[in-house]
Amino acid sequence: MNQQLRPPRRVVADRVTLAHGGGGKAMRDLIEDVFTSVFAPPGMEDQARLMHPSLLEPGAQLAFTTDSFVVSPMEFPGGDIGTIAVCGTVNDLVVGGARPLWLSAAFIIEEGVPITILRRIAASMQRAAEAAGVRIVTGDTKVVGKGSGDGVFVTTSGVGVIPPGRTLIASSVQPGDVAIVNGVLGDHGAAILAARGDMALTTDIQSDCQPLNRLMEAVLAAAPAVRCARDATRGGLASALNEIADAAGVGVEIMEADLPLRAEVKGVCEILGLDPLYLANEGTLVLFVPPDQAEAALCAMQATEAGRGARVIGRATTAHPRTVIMKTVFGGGRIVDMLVGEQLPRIC
Amino acid sequence: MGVRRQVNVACILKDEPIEALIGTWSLIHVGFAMSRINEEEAALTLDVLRQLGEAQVEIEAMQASERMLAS
Amino acid sequence: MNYADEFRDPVAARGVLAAIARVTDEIGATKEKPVHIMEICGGHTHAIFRYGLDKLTPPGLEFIHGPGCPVCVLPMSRIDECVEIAERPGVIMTTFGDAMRVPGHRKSLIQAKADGADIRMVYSPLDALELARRHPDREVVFFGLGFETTTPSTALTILQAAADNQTNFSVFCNHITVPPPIKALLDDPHMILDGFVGPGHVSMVIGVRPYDFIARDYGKPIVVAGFEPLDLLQSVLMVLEQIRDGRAEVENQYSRVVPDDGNPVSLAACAEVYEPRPSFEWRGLGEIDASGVRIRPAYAAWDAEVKFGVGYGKGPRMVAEPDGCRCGDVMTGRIKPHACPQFGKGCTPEMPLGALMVSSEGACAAYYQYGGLRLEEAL
Repeated sequence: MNQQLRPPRRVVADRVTLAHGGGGKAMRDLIEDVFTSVFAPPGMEDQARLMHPSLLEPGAQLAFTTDSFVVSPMEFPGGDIGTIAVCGTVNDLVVGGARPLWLSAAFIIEEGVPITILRRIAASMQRAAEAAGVRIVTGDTKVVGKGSGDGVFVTTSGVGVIPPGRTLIASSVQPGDVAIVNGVLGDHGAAILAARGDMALTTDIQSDCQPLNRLMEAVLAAAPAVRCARDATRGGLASALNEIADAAGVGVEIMEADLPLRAEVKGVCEILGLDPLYLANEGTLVLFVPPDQAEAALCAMQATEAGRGARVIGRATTAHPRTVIMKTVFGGGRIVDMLVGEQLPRIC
Repeated sequence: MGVRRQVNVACILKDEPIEALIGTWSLIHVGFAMSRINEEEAALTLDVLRQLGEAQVEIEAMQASERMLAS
Repeated sequence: MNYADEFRDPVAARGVLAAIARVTDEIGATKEKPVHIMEICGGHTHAIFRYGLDKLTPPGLEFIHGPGCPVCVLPMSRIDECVEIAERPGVIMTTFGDAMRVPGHRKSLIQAKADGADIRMVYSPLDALELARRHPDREVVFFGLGFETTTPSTALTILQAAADNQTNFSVFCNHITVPPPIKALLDDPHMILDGFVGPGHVSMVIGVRPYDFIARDYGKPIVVAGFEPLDLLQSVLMVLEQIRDGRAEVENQYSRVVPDDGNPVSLAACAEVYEPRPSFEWRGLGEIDASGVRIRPAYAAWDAEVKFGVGYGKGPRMVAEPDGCRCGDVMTGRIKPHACPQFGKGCTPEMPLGALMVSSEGACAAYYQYGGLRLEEAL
């Protein structure tokens, strides 16, 4: 009651200083003005106290994941570090078959970061959370000295519930299963590369960051036999496919001609000598489904906003176990291996 | 639209105003326009390739019909 | 029409591939006694593996992957010198991403960056010059490397810096030339090559005449080729037809980009800024006469070798390759990459030992990354 009577706390500074991490009044001003007033967590204790009916269902499982986000620049076309901090963790839950419910958000803020950027990040997070139907229920802030960080680092943990009977697991993929992606590849990676500016390229490419829970629920309703899904984030589609091939002991064959790619992303890749299969995505998943439900899964995806560009891109095989092979447009083949280190521009 | 980048056109500019380059295609390398695409030569090369392709499609069709007749 | 996609048409490819099979047969080449064609340029090596072209051509045709990957043949001592400059206080070293992972004796550029050196990747030497404008208090050095394709861009950037009197900019010049190593390969008594696919982008600068000696003095065909898969296949077909007909000529498949006389503006800029080095070291091949260029004394103010007092011939040179590395034998076509005892064991793209594992344009890295033996086992 007291809290409601007290006037809301306000940050007076333009930029974050070490005082905002000091545990005193300035820190409370920052947390309340910039974060909790936007996220509106249930209660202001040091922990979130939560109840949800789906937890009571016999056979339901709690899903719990965590991820840290660092991205340069912090703001880019199509989103910012806040958007991906929410979407990334939501999607980590979603690809395991969980219905995401709650997130935590911890911020490590470098001294000197403008408060307005923090406000924009918080607003993006809340927007993404609302789009995903989750709540940001607890969090933390720390401030580090100038040069000890790079703007803002965000760590989000997510809790969701896997309904009874759902088991999405990469090791269950069988030869013959069909691989489907929900849309174009590499937009996030290409957008970030262009936004960094050191290659002096301008494009209209936007990051694909988006929550995938509606898409996944629609697919699982139409094609309950889906074996597994992976979000193709760092390391791109190539890494996701290699992980699945490895876990299931199957081969994976994809068709170059069927890979959905935006002309601009192809252009960036040709200019910089990059392979779009290794570019990061923040709202793109690949799933494997038995052939008899592939059509149902594809249609269900295409009926959702995030899955309009869904395509079958390949299948699991008995041949070449643990290896991903791409049939090129000429009918030749090549191995699509895990990325070696970071993908660097190949220009000269 | 597309991917934009400032490039240096010194290597492809002849005795002409820079506007003369508008609408022409060029090969770009490390920020420099290095060679203007010769559209006539491109068409000639493509013609040869297309003829090879068409000839092969015909050969394959003939082989297929021979197989049909033989069976 | 964008002059790229048209040259990726799978239907046309079927025709060229069938013709390649036919002519290979007419030559009488077989898996046991194949015809050997070298693609000189690393860009072509990359395209062959990227599109799986070697899996589509007949077994009687064998590709030998040439020395045309500028990053691969860069000697370790030059990386050492580059690192030495980059670690000087106040220096911003700029480079193409290609060079970041090339191992030196002490460390690669990526390791030097982790150790605190200010090393930045750029797309163009012009971006490095722009960086120098924005940081007047710093010394901006561009790590110039590449064949004749890239050499003019560095020359033009130096001319621009000279015109603007931008004195905090310099180039660490490692530019090399294509014809001398081809001559070195042809002079090798164990040479088994029957013909060459010539580098298209190098040739758009230097034209096709510098290859005359290959046909005239050595009796080998060469066809200058574009980089789209159909370009490459058509060029291979043209080489095979020359072999079948007993001809040895310089032909130009990439005439849409390559004028016979090259590009006069580029050549003039190079002649103004550079002079030939007496010799230059190629990793895996050793010293080759007149195979590299250096910045002329008139432009010494923009020459990082002069400015920082490091450079060719100043430090001790260790030409020997690491133990067991057989890059030289791979480059001359004597062995396939996976026949090297270090392939995939002591030498991987993560920790390259030899030159050809360094860049994905190197034959060994392309084999490792895109298939080679593993792909043959898999298919």
